[in-house]
Amino acid sequence: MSITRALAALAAFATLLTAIPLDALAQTRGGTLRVGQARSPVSLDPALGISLHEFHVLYSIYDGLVGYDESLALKPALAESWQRTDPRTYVFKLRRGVKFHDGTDFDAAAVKWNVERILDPATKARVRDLDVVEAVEAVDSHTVRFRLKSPTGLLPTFLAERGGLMVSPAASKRLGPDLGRNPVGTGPYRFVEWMADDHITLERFDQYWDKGLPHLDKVIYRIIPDESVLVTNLRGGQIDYVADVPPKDLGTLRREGALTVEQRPGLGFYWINLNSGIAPFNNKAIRQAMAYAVDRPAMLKSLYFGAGTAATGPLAPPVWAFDPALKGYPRDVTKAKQKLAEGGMPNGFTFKMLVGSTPMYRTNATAVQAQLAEAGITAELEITETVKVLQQVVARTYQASSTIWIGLNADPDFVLYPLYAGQGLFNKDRYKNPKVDELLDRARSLDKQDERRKLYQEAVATIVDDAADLWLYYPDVTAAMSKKVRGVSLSADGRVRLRGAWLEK
Amino acid sequence: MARSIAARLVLTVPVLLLVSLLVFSLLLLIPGDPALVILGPDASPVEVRRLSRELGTDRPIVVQYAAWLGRALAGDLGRSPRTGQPVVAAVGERLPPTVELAVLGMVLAIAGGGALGLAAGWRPGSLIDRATAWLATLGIAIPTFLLAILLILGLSLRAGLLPPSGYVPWRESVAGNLRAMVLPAMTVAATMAAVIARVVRSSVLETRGELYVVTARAKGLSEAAIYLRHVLRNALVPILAVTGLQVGRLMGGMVITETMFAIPGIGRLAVDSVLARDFLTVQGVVLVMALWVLLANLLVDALNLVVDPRITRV
Repeated sequence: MSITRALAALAAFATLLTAIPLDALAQTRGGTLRVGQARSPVSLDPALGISLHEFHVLYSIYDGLVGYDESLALKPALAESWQRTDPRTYVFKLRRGVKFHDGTDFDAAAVKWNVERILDPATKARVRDLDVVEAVEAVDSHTVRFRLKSPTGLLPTFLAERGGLMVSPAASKRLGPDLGRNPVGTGPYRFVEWMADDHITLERFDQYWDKGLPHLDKVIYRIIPDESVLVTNLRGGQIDYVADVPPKDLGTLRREGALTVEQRPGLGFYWINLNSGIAPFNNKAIRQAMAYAVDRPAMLKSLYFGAGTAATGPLAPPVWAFDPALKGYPRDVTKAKQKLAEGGMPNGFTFKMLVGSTPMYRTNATAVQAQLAEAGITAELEITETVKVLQQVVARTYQASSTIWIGLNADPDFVLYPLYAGQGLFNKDRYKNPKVDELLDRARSLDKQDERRKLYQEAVATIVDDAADLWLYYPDVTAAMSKKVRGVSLSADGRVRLRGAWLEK
Repeated sequence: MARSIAARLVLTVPVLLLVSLLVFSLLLLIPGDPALVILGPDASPVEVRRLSRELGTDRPIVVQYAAWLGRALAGDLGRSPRTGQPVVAAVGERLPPTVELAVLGMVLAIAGGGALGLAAGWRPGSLIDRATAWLATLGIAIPTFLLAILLILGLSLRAGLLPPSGYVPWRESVAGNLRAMVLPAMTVAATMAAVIARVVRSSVLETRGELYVVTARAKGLSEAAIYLRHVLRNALVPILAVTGLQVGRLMGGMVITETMFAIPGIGRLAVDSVLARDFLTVQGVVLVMALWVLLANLLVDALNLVVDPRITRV
């Protein structure tokens, strides 16, 4: 054995060692974890809610058919394996021995019932991913076949989102619309009580299928609407864990050193949504002028305390098709003015920007307004209620709006299709480019990541060249917790997963 | 006396009806289609129309109101389209913290403001009078959220005396409940105490100069007796009136206090529901709040009758 090979072997061994999570060696059972969050879930029926923060609770109560690992790659959960038998058919093999919290069995019939419940208009489900499903059949007690209306490689991802979180059919039939306040799933913790706007209590589910989990006896989610009060509670030890720490507090908390602070790149972005369906933003050169006029790194640093990455396009770094070589639009006022002339508006123009009531939307809008002014573009801000903004955005009567895009998961389709495909749910009558449409449709029908990556990177390059929107920066996902909290998983999707959480004694 | 109170009670019914009609028409003026808000920006127009039909928001306002009223009279305020929860249950579970906070705040305001006002009015121009004037100005001027943050930072985070926020139900722990309520009650009480202090002071000052007080003093009554029997009782009428008015204001300030201290009360429910265009819940909350203000004013009127028997004759 040569020395180099010995070294290589040693290096491999060392990597292996570090790959074993140290936490796994010393977990202790028991204890109550108190999680603080600013907003209360609206409903704990996975089909009904719409907000990101609801996942913090949903993931404790429910399991998906498919799950995510730390890097947001798909992994088996309630389904042990799945196979695409032809472009329009998927077969899922289910895990055996799984029970719902009410003691009923999880099986193929339960999956069929769950998917049909979401597709039934009477459920009023907000989940629309599963509309692609034509029929679900229970092949045997633990095998399910999905037939699709059109070919898509995304079904497993759809089943890792809300649509795949399995509700107990027995409980749902018994509770009807009250299920949202009395959730019953197969997850690691079982529902105990919900005091509206105050707290939600869960306890360990002793018959959880993943033996040895969970470690905690109890989880309490406390709703504390004011952000500074939330952080004060964490510092005072009244709660143990907070996700979504205000960026202004991150520095202080780190300096104080009494808490553990976690921070990693997230999936979403702050952006100025441009309505390229109407003037003036139906003009590519004008959109490019906007893109050149804005200083993204400066905004990130001064408005968001540097807790993020300056945006180069619609895909954030943790999305697997992110292209680090993409340059985006570095600020260049001269170029912006050239582009204005090219677009037929050498003296600039005036447009109206809608701004919802979220403080960050306003801060971003004001900064963008000041920077555009230097290039001769006048943005008139209309600060109003978020609902009013929404209405104009849906009706496509707006010119621009300052908002956030919350990334659901690491699959690029979930950003690009709704926003930039001609038929995208958020895009209709807005941005149109046949080349992008074709690339996105093709990528959607494939399931090999490498093939899809190439198509998405090409689509993004086109969308960025078109300056379809004004992407500002990708905010980081953050959490702060007491030093004794271990094993809480916070991924780029910003969802808190407590499956493996435990408390150091 | 009983008869005039009964008459007032009967009058609350048409007032509540009027309030509900007013709220219904006000909600129409708020832009934002409820169906759109519920379904989110990715909803298709077909779905929005379908939900509007289910919610009944596509029908004329008169029809909507009549339908709502019919069900409301039967005790059914509907089910929130946002959360799927019955409105009666949603309002019911958030009522106890709000009522408790309001009552504690009022007690604190009356006790604190009253004591300061009496002391200031008794010795005008003294140190305590000037201090009261300062405190009252501060109490009226300071925004609720700022006071809340200052109290949390000072009494909770620095001194560690009280929990910074949260609500503990009575049945879990009475002591815990009261400890958690001290800071919010102080916050709610501040403005009200300031107003009461000012009114009590001027009311006492005015009464002190009345001829019957001079007569009492001439009769050789002790200062304490004059104060308690003559000045205080006669000064009570305006004080009660102001307190009654403050009850309505109290409900307004409640929204911010509940948010700052994470108290699961009706104020937060109201704001969340308005923002989400959850009109059924808004309607339920407003009715309960209106009833609360009406009853509080009724109680003040009844107390006035006790304090000042002359009122009955009017």
